Amino acid sequence: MNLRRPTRIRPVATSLAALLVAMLAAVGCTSGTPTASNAVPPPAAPEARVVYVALGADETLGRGLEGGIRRGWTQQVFAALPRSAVYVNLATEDAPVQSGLADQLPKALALNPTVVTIWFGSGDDPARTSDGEFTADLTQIVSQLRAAQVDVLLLSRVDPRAGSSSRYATLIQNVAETTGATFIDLPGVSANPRDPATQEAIAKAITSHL
Amino acid sequence: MTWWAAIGLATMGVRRRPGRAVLTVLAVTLAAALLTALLTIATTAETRVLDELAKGGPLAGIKVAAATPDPAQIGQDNANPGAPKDLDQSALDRIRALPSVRDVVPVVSTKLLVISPTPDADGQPLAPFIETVVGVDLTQAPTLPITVVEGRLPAPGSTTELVVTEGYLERLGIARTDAARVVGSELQLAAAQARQEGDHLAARGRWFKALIVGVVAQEAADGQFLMATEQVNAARDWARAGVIDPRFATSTSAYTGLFVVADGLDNVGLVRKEITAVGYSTSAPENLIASVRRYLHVVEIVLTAVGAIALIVAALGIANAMLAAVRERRREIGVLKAIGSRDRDILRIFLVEAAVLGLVGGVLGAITGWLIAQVVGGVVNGYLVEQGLTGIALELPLTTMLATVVGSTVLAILAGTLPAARAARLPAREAVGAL
Repeated sequence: MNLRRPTRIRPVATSLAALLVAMLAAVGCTSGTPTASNAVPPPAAPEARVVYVALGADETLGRGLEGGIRRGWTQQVFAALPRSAVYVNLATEDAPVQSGLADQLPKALALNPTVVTIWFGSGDDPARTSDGEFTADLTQIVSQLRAAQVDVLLLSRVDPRAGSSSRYATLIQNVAETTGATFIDLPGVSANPRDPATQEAIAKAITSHL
Repeated sequence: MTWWAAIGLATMGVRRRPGRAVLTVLAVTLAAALLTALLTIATTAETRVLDELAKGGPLAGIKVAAATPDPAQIGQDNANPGAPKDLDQSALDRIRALPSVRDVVPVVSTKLLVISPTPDADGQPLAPFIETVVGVDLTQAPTLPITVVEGRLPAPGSTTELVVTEGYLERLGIARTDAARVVGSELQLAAAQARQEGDHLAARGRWFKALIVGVVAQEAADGQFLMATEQVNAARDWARAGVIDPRFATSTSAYTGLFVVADGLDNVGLVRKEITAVGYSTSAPENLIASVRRYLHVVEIVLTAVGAIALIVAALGIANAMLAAVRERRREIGVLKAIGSRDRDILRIFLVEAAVLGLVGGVLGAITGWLIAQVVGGVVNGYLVEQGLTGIALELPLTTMLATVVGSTVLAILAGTLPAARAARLPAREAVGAL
């Protein structure tokens, strides 16, 4: 009698064991932790501080650009900087270099910038601003920034079709040489400043110096 | 007769008819499994539903706005805020000091101009738009109504990480199921400092970049972006240095709002009343949560009843099996009585036998029920994730499992009482007479 008992229990026990294994396998296959997590990550590590400020007039302001604000060269320079960068465009419409010294420079220094691009000329009337005044004002702007350990990039489009801007090109280059700022001339840039290709070319020329 | 002897004899009795024992245990197992699975699923569903209502935050959360209170706000979940009123550190300290307030998390927000690199549903570049960015101390995220749908939260203190809400996905025409598409893209955001230029307002932007690290559902404040307070405060300071620009709704308030946690759902009304007295507008889903909890409790009672009925049916099976065992073992009972066993010894043997069946069935049932709940949870999780919703996480219901095991054993003992009593009352002569 005793010998027959195991033969009666085995199929049932085997079935139960199989059922249990199947359920465990199903659990393993179906359940899983959701991909999203509400857990708070560890605090962020301090990142390199980059503050980019653009000083200048209409070319820097980028008003009326074809393709919108994101096509502006200053915006493209900002895009090329590290993710921790902060950018402020202090340029104003028709601003002469004198306005850059009086209005834009104090605001720029208050932002503690690390990189500044300067592009004046188009807002200066040759009849009212002499070469000497232009050079003196621009030198003051660059010198004060350089004294604050700022990387300064002086821009000028050396293009005979560019009107007053080209008139000051040599003066700007001289200021760069005197103050130790980086001079970037843009001879290959198209005459149409609102063209996205022009903006891209300017941005490329600047970012190659950063 | 000792307990050990009774257990030994009961175990022998169980092993004598293994088929019947297995079937009886199987009935108890299935009933216990049903009860465990139903209760586990019901409890998880309740947690999930309440979590959804509280948007991942505490159930006793109250939103305080930088505005004067609506006199009738206490009875309403969503009160209409009155005129703007600055919410500064002294107001925060007063609210924090109120009785029944467990926690207070300040919330700041500001409108920013946003440039998104992700094209819209038609593949066209999205035009820059103005949207609110909410800033919170992310170390306190578990206290806030924030649920991560995709990715993760920004690192506390990070100025270059943010999360977006489903509103941003809608703006881009992206389904919730494709939320992962936006994670990893970088936004350019600008706070506008307005200045008067002649007869019009001109704005000067302070731009920063932020990486989208996740998609969330959040109710901390209105806004499609959420990030650490530091960058939002810097943006607010920049905007406030200019003149008031209605496009960016520049506010002078130190905090846009507060998220206050009461020490219990029952105290939400009291805390709201106190904050109203301090002079600020509040809102909380207390009435909705209370109603939903009542309905969920009814569902829980019904499911428990279903499981309990199954367990009672299984107990009747035990009673039936025990009655059959008593009939079959009359000779054994007679012999035991003939060699000196008392009625209570016989009673003990059969009660222990019933308890063993109930205990084994209960333990197996509790484990099986947990496994069934896991399978159901896995299927439900798959569906939720497919729908772009947060999945559920089943917790081991130790109390439910323990109650199931104890309940099964007690029910089995009760079911075995009648057969055991019948066996105990069996006259020795009659029992031996069957020989």
